[in-house]
Amino acid sequence: MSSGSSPPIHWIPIGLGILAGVLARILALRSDYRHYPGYPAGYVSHVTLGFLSAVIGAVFFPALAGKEYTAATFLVLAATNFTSVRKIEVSKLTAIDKFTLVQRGAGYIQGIAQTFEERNYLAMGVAVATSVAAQLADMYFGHTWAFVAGGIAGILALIVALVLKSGKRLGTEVEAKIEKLHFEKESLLYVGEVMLMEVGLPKARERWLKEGVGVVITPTTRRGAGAIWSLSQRQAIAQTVASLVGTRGDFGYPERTPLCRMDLPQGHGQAGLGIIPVAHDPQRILDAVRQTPLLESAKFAAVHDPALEQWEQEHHIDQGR
Amino acid sequence: MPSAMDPSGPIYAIVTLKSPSEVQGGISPVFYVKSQEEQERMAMWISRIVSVAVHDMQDGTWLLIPI
Repeated sequence: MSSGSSPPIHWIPIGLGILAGVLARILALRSDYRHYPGYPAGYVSHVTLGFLSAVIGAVFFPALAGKEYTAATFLVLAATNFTSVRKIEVSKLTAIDKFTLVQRGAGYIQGIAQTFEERNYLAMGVAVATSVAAQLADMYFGHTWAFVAGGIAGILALIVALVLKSGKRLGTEVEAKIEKLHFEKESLLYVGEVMLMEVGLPKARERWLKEGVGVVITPTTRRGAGAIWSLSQRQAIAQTVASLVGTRGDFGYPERTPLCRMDLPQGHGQAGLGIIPVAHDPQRILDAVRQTPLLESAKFAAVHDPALEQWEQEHHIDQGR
Repeated sequence: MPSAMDPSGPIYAIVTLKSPSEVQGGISPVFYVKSQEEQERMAMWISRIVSVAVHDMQDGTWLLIPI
């Protein structure tokens, strides 16, 4: 390692690091009912980005060990790069959102974009952990142990990354139940006790009564009680349900927009969802509500929530207030 | 298409059974109709054409509002 000549390149830690990092990114990549990222273009770009972050993570420690401090500072560059990935995702999803029937909403979009950014960091972190272990083992015990240590560290880091990658679903925080839709005062659409909206056209009211499905969402945890007060969270619920069972509406039919509203007259802390689905499948609608991602932005301070307290009383749960 | 999360936007039109002396347009046009059927037809057509929601003020006046 004399000045002027390059130090030897440690291919084992770098290679293992890249492999584990890319694997972390690929395992986290799934295009399911969210229809995002798109296949194949979205997949290609995100696997490529994941590869780049894995490369940066994998060379970090070998560069430090080789006293190449400039190379190590490239990690900073990567962070800036991934922040811009988030911004690109936000602008792309926002642009798409303007021309969809049921919008994701700003909170959901920020959540998706943040997840993409985070997964690049996870890929980088897995690569760093793997290459550090492999490099140290290589320095003290030789090549064979470098593979063993790198492999074990890579698998452990992958498990941690996969745990960190998956956010919570609404199903663990709320209880969803099908309730009848009805009209009060002639034109106010209700699901259970929750008022959704005012429907002026008599034909539209008939349509809601004939084909509409209503769901009442009751929080079962304090997190859930706070989350459903968030407009973003409720828009995410409506969007998820609409993307799974479809919504029988179009431009020119604004009164058929699926809605998720809070129970305001009573203030019980319940939410109601009304939708005119394409696939009339109540069970699937309930499943859709339950598998809606719990948005990170949908957080509120602990609230005194009558609906939650009643639910706890009925189910004899004491959450230690 | 107007955004569902953007509550801004004036009343697009008014369809009313009332007389011009009772309901007058400020910034939005007023359609005076003679019967409930005519009111429904008028409101529905405007709603379908420009995608505005119909709201019944329950006094014979319907407001057409972009959402």
